[in-house]
Amino acid sequence: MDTVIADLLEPLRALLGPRGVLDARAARTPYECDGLAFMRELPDLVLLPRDTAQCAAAMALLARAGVPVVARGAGTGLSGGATPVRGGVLVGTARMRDVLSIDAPNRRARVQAGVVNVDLSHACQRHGLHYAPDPSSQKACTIGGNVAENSGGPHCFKHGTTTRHIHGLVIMQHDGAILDLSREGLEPDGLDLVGLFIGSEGTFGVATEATVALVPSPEVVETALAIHASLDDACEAASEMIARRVEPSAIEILDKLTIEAVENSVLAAGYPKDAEAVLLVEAEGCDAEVRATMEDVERIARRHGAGEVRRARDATQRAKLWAGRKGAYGAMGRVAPDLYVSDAVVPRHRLRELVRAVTEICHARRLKVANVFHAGDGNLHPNISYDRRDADELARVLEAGDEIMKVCIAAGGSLTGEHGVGLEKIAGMEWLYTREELAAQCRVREAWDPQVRMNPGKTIPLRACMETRTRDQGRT
Amino acid sequence: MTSSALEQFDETLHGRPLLRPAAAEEVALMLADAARAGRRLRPVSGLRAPTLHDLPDAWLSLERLQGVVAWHPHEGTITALAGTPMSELEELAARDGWRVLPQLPDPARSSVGGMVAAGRSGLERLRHGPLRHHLLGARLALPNGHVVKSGSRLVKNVTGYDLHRLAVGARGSTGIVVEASLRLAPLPRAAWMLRLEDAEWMTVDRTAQALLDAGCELELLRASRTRGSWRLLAFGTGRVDTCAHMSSLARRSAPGALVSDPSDFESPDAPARAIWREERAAEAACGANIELGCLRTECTALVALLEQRGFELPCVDPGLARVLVRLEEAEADRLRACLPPGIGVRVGAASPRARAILARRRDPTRAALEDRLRAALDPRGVLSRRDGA
Repeated sequence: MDTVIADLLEPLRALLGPRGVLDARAARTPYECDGLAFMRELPDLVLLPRDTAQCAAAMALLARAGVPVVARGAGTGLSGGATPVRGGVLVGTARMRDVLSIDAPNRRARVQAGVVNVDLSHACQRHGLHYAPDPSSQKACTIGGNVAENSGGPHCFKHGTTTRHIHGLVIMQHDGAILDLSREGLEPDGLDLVGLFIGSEGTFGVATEATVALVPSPEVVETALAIHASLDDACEAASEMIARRVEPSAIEILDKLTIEAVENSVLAAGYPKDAEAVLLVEAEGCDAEVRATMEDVERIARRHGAGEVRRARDATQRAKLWAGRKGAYGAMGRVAPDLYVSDAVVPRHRLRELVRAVTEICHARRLKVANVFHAGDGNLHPNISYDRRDADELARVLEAGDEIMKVCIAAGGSLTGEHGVGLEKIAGMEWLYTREELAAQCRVREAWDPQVRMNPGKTIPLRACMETRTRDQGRT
Repeated sequence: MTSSALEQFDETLHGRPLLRPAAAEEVALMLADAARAGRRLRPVSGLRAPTLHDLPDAWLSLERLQGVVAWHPHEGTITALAGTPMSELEELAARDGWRVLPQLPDPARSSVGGMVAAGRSGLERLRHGPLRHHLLGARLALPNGHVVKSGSRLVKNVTGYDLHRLAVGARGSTGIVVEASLRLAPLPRAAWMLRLEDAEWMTVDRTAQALLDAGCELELLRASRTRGSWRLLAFGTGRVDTCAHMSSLARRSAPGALVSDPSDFESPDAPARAIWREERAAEAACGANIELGCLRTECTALVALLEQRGFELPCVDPGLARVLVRLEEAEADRLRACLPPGIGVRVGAASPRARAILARRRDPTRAALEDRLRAALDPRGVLSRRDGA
């Protein structure tokens, strides 16, 4: 162990207690990667503070020692955002799991960053409220992680991503100074620091508390499954729903390989195994609104070849349909030991063409790809099944991942819709942004963290930051 | 363009040169020239008169940066240059059944860039949220001479930092927005309304709270002060059936109020559209220059307190917990002294002195970070003074 880190052990133990400092290799191993399992690096030390004050004190010590810091929620991220780069100290929020208050009349709650997404909705249920962003990993992922990545989920089609649902944050700055933005309101007088922080992937600081917006649970919810004979048809139906301004709360597509994986798993949801694709659509609101929306959905789905449109009979069946959708990544474990979950956004009127292009990229490299994605938002998730022990296959997976990004960018799309850039897509930043655009982002990052100690090596390519710094120094 | 470009102007505005770039790149070059020459520029839209405090060395008019750059009816997004009036976007989008958000009080006098710089939200924000929920991305001209993009024209995107979010409400201090992309919403088919007039704030507020508690989906819930009385307007939109449901819910919740049946909202000459336009115009004309934000449960007491202290409150939005104040400069100290802790203050067109007094409530850690962010994008202070102004 690095002597700098070794010197920190005693003072950190005094601050956080023995449960708050993990230095044994075996204890650190679970923190060597997130959901992007082929990229691994062991942190030198793992800290698990209990609250904002402990986190601030620990961060101040780390700042004095000049060590890199990586923040981590539940480690469910899929872009390597919580994976250390060349060691450093990992600050986890696993012990910061308190719902601090629920203010039902004002439809908001104050939570610690380590609160699990779905636990927050459960805690609010008795008030007839819930927390709207619902990533597929919501049973494990944390609010702090959601803030870092600006996470989405199926129902973000109606409700928007995390950024719409955060009223305020308490942020630990690089030097341990606490930035309290917990009462920002809808439109702050000054810069929108909360808006800028959300989605910054832990490179600006560590959020320790969040004030979140809660939404009323809908009066009526209806879920439909449109069964299509081709993936093209399902994509066309989703595009037409957008073009015709139909407003359900979620529009999802699952293709044949995904359906088979789900139906062969414990999460079997009753999806028809002989379908080439299904559209999973949900509407919520008052009875009249839901009925009319679902009529529009069914009409459009049938126009695009849906032979059957099934409606969930009750809440249990609805929950089963969603469990299948949200468990799809896990179910893919039946196909191969590893899964590369790609994440790109494309214009919604070009879904068919781009899903087809993505599939062809994978097939050309002899890879098995399954598509399960947020069609309503144009957010594709090509899931490539592979075995990371097969070096050749892993190389083909990475090549396909790069090619998918390039095709999506060329079509007016973007690198990531909800998983973040992290380590995985950092090279792609130079395909999307010019040198000057990256330089502007580097300067903003350094305004938060002048030494770039917070989650180094993520989000913005290091080369771009170094170039910026050299040029800026040359000018002064 | 050389630094002498700052001297090449045909017009002046309030005695200062008026620069009129014709392209985004030209804006960036003028900013770079100003940075080299140590000059300070302030953008103007050309659609409304600028405030005259703290005059810049030159004005940078964005009125020649006009036009829709990308319009995708199948996608529900629109991208326009900064000087384009919002009314132009509204007309274009409405032809294909879309509605531009935010619905600003005065769209013909509001430019796309000005809206972002001022962080202006629309009348419909109770239902659809503030501007930052609709702004998908922007191109920004920076004083280093470059135009950079942030965000995209897509409805979902988390690639890189959201510099466009930093531009919202920054009054141009983090770069000049030269182009912006907005997410649109479907144009509602129908609308319904509730009206109530009463001299007592508490009566109006009780009705407003009852509507909110009943779960009525509203675009606007506004109490306006007119001729010594309070007037409450609740405005909901959606499908005809939805409006019928919501209006019956409103009738049950607010028995003393006048509730309309659903009526057409889609056709441009629909009476409900005319009422909506009137409300937008009324906000534009109300003369409020300070906006106070609190929690919904604090709003009732805050309004009562401010009324008791004699402040002029042209509008209150109980659902948003937002109180608009028309403040004379001399009243700024008195307002600051009586505000309970935790009340957010957003200074609009108030005088610099009022702004300075009310700005004293700001957290120094936050202010220092804001200064560093502005310095990161505008190190020589071309777009704002470096003294925290």
